[in-house]
Amino acid sequence: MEKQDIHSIWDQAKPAAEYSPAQINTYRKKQYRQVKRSQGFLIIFDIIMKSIIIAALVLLAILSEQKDLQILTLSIAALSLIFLVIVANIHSSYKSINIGNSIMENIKERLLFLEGKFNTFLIFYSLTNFLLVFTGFIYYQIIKYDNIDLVAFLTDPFMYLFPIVAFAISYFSQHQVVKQQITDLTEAMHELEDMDNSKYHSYIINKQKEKQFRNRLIAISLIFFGLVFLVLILLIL
Amino acid sequence: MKNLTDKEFEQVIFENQLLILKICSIYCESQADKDDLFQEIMINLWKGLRSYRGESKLSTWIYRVGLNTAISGFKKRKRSPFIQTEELPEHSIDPKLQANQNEEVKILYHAISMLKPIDKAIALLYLEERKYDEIAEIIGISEKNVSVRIVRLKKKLEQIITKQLGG
Repeated sequence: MEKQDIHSIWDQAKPAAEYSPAQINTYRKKQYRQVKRSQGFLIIFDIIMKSIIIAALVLLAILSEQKDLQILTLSIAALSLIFLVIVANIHSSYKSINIGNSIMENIKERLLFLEGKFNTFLIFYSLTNFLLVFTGFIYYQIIKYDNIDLVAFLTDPFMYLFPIVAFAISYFSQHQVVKQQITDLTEAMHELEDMDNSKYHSYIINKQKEKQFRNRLIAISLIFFGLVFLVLILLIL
Repeated sequence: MKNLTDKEFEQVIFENQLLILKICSIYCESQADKDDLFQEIMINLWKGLRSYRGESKLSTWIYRVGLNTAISGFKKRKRSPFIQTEELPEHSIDPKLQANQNEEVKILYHAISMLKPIDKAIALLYLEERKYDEIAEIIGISEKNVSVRIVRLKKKLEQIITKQLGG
């Protein structure tokens, strides 16, 4: 088959749908539907949820007359605020991905983001669920018993079990989605490297991955030791 | 690029919709997915138009945004827990046009569907008769690599088509 043939066949191919300016206008206005599917939506959603949790905890601290409870809620609120700032920083990295770059550049940027900052984000995103359930339990105790025996509350394994389950479900379900995206993008990157006869981009990405892995370990350690420290202080109080 | 009004943007999309629709046609099988991808490309164009500085041709930039959306963003939607399938406007599907597409066209689309995502992009740009330097600019590889890849792709597509046509 000659070159001309493929081109002549292609010239006959007409897309099955055409849109009028009115339809284009309708589609453009429905952009929230697209936003809902993006990683950007997840990040924004998390920022909103963290803000709600912080507000709920601060409100509890204001309304409560129990000093130890005030310290607990304000400490968790402060911790959540730090998480919120980190997530906001991740959002600005997401926004900096330029979709108008070349395909190679775009895949590289997305891979770096997904492998690095977005993976870190998933920890903070799942922690929101942990904090949400934990805060819910505190509210439940206050509403039901008017006050809260913090020592009994913090040493009850069930108070941790459900938040941990909430964390795990959220983390692993999202992680699977991201893992698949990373696999697809890595395949595309390898396809490009086969053309370019170069492993340079993979090398750069691997270096970045190592760096991000270290950062992630530091973040997890900070969260863990922060929470342990918090519990210890409360137990001493 | 200067800030476009909504009307001007709609006009840009209207004038370039065939280009976008062809991207949707080679990366999606169902009409629902094609519409979904079309919408996503359009929104990315809308968001990105403010950062378009006119360093490349508008069509080159539209190809970049369209292909990046299709390659980097399309699969995630299918697997995302946040997926929301939207009913399409009835008039967006034209069964007559679909029915009129002859066997050769269907075979060509089938052959393209068997390619990997990046090869699909190169095949599309080649079939759209874009220059090698423009293809290189869109994909991000050298012109030499583009020409080598196109030779291989042509061979591959021709083999599939010839086989399908029973030649």
